[in-house]
Amino acid sequence: MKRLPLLLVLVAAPLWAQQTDRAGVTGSVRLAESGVPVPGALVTLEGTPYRTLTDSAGVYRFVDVSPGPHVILVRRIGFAPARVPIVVPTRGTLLQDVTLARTALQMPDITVTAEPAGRARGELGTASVIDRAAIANQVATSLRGVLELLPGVPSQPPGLEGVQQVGLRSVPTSQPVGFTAGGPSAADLASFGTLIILDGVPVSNNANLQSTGPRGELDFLLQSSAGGGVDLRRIPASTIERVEVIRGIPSARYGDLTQGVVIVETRAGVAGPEIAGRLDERTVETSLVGGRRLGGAHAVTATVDAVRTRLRPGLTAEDATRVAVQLAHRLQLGPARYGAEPALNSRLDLFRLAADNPERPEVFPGRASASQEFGLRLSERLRLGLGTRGVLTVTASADYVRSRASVQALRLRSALPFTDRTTEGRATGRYVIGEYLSDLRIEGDAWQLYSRLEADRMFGGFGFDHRFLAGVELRREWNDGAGILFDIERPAQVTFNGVQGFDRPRRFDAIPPVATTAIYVDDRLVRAFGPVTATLQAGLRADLFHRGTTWFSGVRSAVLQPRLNAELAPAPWLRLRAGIGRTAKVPSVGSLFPTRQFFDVVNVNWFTTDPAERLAVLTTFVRDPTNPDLGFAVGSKREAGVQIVTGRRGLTLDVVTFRDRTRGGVGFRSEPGFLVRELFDFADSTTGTGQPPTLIEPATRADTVPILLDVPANALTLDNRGVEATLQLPEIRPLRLRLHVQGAWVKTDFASEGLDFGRGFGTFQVNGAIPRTPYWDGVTRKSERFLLTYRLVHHRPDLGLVITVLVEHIARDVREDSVGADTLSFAGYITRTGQLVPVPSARRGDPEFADLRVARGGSFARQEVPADWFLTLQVSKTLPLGGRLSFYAFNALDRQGRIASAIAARTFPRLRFGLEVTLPLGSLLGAGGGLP
Amino acid sequence: MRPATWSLVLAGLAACAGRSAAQTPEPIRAMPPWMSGWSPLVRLADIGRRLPGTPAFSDVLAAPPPRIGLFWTAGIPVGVGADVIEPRLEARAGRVGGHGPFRRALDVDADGASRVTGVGWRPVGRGAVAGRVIAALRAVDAAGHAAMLDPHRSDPFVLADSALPAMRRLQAQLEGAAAWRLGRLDAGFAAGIAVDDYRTQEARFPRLGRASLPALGAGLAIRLPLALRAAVHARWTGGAETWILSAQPGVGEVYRLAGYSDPTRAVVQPPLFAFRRADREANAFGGGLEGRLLGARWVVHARRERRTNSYMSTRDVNPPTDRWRARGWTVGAAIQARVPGDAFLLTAQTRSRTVTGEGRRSDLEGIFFRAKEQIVESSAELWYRPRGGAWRGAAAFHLRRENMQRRDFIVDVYTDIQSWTIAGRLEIARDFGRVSAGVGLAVAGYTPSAAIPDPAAMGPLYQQLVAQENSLYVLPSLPYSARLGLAWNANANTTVAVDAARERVTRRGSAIDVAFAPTGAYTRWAVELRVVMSR
Repeated sequence: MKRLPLLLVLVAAPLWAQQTDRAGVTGSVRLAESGVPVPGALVTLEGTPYRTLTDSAGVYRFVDVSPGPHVILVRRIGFAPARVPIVVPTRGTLLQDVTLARTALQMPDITVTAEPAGRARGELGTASVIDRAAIANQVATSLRGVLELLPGVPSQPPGLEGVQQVGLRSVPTSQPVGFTAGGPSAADLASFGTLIILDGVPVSNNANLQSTGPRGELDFLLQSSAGGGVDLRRIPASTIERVEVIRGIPSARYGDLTQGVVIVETRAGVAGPEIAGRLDERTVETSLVGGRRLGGAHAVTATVDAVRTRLRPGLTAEDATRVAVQLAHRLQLGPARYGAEPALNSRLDLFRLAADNPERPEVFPGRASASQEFGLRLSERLRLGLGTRGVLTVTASADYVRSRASVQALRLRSALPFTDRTTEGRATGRYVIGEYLSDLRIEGDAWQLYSRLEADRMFGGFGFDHRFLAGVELRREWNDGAGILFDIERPAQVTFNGVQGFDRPRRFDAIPPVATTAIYVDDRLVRAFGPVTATLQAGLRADLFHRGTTWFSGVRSAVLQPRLNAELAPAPWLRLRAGIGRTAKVPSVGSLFPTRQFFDVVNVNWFTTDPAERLAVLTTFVRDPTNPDLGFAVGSKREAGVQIVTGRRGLTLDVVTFRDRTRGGVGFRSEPGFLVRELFDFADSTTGTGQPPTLIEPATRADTVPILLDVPANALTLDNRGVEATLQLPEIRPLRLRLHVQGAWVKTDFASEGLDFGRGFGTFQVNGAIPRTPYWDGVTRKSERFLLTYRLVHHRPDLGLVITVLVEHIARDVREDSVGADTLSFAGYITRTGQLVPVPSARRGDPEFADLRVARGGSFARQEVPADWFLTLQVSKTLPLGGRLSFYAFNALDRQGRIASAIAARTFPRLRFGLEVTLPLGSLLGAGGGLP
Repeated sequence: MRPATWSLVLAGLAACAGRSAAQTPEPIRAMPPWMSGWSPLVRLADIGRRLPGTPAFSDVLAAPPPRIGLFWTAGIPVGVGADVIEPRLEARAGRVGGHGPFRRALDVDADGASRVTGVGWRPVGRGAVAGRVIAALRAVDAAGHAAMLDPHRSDPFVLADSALPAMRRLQAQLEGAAAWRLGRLDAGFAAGIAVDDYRTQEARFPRLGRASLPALGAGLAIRLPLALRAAVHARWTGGAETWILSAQPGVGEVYRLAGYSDPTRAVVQPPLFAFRRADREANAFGGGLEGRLLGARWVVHARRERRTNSYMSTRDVNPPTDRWRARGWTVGAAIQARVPGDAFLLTAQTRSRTVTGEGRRSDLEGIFFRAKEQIVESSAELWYRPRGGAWRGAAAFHLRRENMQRRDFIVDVYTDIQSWTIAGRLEIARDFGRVSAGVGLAVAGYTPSAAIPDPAAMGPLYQQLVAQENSLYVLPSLPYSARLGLAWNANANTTVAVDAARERVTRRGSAIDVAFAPTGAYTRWAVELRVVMSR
């Protein structure tokens, strides 16, 4: 592996460039209904710069194509795009005709599932491609719904319920690891490590601070993806043209990830206007998309999507809404040279995602919550020819997300001494008692500047066809919001143990930006050895994150990521592949700059019935949990797979086994310490005087109060392993029926290096009579899921009819915690001065440790839910003028889900049914395809 | 546009339209019975108790004459191959509703629904297909006490509550049948699904319900000598209905009715909720024979049906369940002949449905409730439709015999309601160029002979929720209905029609004084726009 960079440099050198075996591809593009040739259709070879237009006879031709698997993509305004996988021979010319139809439902080979054989552009690792036809056939409101076409991703009904995230090749474990509340869960960590790229630019969650932090009492009304992945609700499914999901080892051009990459391309280019709508009991959605050429070299596309979901109709007035607008502009800068078409692509994305839970005075007086995100992103991609066979791409974007959240609740607080000090020191406090209305607001303005310079060149050398790319990536992220705002006297917290103080407001704009740089090189080599085609993809990426706020400041942490994928095709129907690589994810801004923690130690707590006689004295300690050693989370990925494809309409089998391990995931580690508490005597404590007692200064004595500081640390390990399989059986011609089976068995172990101080620590803190309390090692939480998805597709192109029956079978669903919970499971004890004293397991039964032998708190039962399944039905039919109408019934048989005898309860999503209508307006407006 | 396309278009329009309210009574039937009798979703081993009414109109204005056959009469899916000889598509959009005090306690007071229906069939290759789609949106300002969709089944388990909320119900139904000819054999299958979502609006004691009813059927037919055709078939219907009654913000009472005894009043207080779920499953095996005799077409059929309904109130692994098991027969025959020439078509039909069922409560040993119910319906209808003539019409005579015996062994009471319904129906239509007008009248006499429990001796919930129904069925009543329609024949294949129908049922005579008997009348109405495409 250490010689890889040298090898790359060598093979990249054009000095030794030479031509290798090459073949041609030709064919005609015709209409499905009439067989009429289609002139002017754009034909491309995906993942390559090859592109051409069909001539007046509908014929296209590519020459000098490298051997191996490719995908032909044919587009023409007014028609559904057609994707055809091919295998280019070593020599000669491959003849491949392509059929176009007005709508995808009329295409003879419609694909309504993710394509295991579809090759993500330029990627050799395991990847699925979901094209527009499959997206249109999927009942989805946002990207989360589209990703349900992948193996192992459970189905959900359409709508805007909850925060929607996806963590590739991972299953959630039972609970967050560790004692610290608010720490990331396995699902959060996996989602955070899944890179989402929208139109060439990463969608970042690194500067999302919409959380009250690890110590805040998170209100369940406050939903946010902070600390997790991107909230996928912001990306409407209706505006997506294509999704590539790289679950295996990605090429070196993709960084800031540990799990995988989801590459989303929205609909852009010249396209007839199309309006679509969806209606069910909860969700109403409408979208409009259209694009046209503005004469000359300019083309614009606009998409608008609006959706509203009533979250619990009949019970509450809670709803979620989204409006998304995208404007795309393309300026062609010159004629195509060897497929590289110089162009400047500009995109402006806006979205507004809001959830509103208004107050219902007769149910929960005072309780209300609202959250709103408004996003604006401008991105530019300049693509220029680089020599005869190269492309230079410059990408730049500015991304702004304005987040506003508020939670209002009626809270009840017992008589607690209280101080509002925001600096260290002692002060006279007061008592805040009774019911009050807390109003917490979080105002974040997350920014991201991103740029990438990439050179991509194809050449021959050492007997191989090379596709070499090198690039540099710059990113800067920060949050400029007003932060966490609330009245200190009326916080969202109501519990206070006399040490761990109430949180204080915090400004986000005081947090410095985080700057990262990445450099990468990647080479894809292809060579045919007789009938055998070998492909190798090797890359190296270096991610750096800087000490200061700019790319010119010193490097705080760096990680080198070699990646290698290899594929061998001994026969056109067989592909064997394997890969190994390293990935890395930069910590979030919130982890790098955590909020300060306040400890309000009560020195005097003199509470009487007469408010005038009360006296509270508190000393405030402020601790900064910033961890200067916090660095990248590093993932290692390995996989091996086999793919068998027997003809276009034949059997397709794809099996891959993988192991993804993320070390150094950022969580919170509880670091023990102690504070000195001064205790005072009174000069006069007689009641009935109308005066508080007089304090005798200085303090007559002092004791220590143990504390735990929640420090962000690279303390989490996420270990995922499993097998993914996709099987597509040949069509049963008489019944026009295809069976598509996907399965994923995934096992996740989620562990923390930190210690667990148990639930009794709060009592230990305030009770000076307790000299020590036990601590335990961290918990490893395990989960295992075997999810099988059967899709039965009945397709009648002549009727424009597709009936899809989806059966999701959860064959295994286990959650288990690897932990000792008995009274001898403690690892040691902590003293009142925060000192950790380990106790060897052989001595834990000794009489001197009798006080430490207590049952460990928490629920660690094995939870196994019996196997069960549910069914979803969808019927789609073409309408006149190329329209489409679908009826869907999610969980159509209203199955409940088997209930486990333990705590775990599986409840399937409820029966949901509705309609989708898509109408192309082009024909109505006289802007059709212009073909017979 | 193809039939299936139209169906889906109309389903889409339905979703944009209004909707209809609670569950019962069922709306007036606007479609001739033979057009929907083939549905695989027809309830098996379960006889619903209907309000007295008139028979459905045959629709001489725009519908073809009644059809008989293994598919149309017996609902055997394999029959569609031979019974469908020309394509036809009907798309309907309209509003239906009902109101009035002459109803049962679990019926809604007044409701209105917007409903869109598409039904079509056509020969395809060596076979034929038929399909139907319905979408409806129903709204009630004050729903009845019944929390479930249809509380008047043979099954005695009924979920009710103390609220009378406003409700919305969204329902969709999709079904189809197809058959192929394979030499002397025909093979066919049918599938369907009906889904419902109903929930209260702005209620203090919200009621949420949803239901799913899937159905499958398959059969084989063989051609025999003497123009005979024999068929066997099997059917299965599943389904689940789930209810949640939430005590937020108000307090409510839930009544799990089981027969005629008063259940415990379960008070649901915040923040709790009540859960109830029904899992229903039924199957049937049967056969049919059709042929020709002296120029007449005839069909006989029989079907053995079984049903098991389970009700649970908790989400445990093995929850205690109330069970209803029933079995029954459906036997029928039909004959159709042209008399004396092509202008007249005589159709005679008879059908008997019998159900015997037993109920078991989860908290008791043994059978606590038994029902034996039978309905025999017979009709003779004469169509007049001269070739090239401007006038056409239909006259029909209907006879319906009901025998409903239900016994509750816990409170040791029973009901034995026997009734005759004699009905006559007359429809005429006339063409005025490309425009046609039609009118229809029907009248029926419902005459019962019954024994029911003395409500005064029963519990308060019986008096509140059950007594009114039993009292209604022991009263003679007089249903009558009228229908008016206009049709425009756009071309040889397409007709656009507008129909309005109204039915009213009132008590007949006042000699008998029955406690808890409803007064006044109940009125059902329907207004529909139709597009019919045929060849």
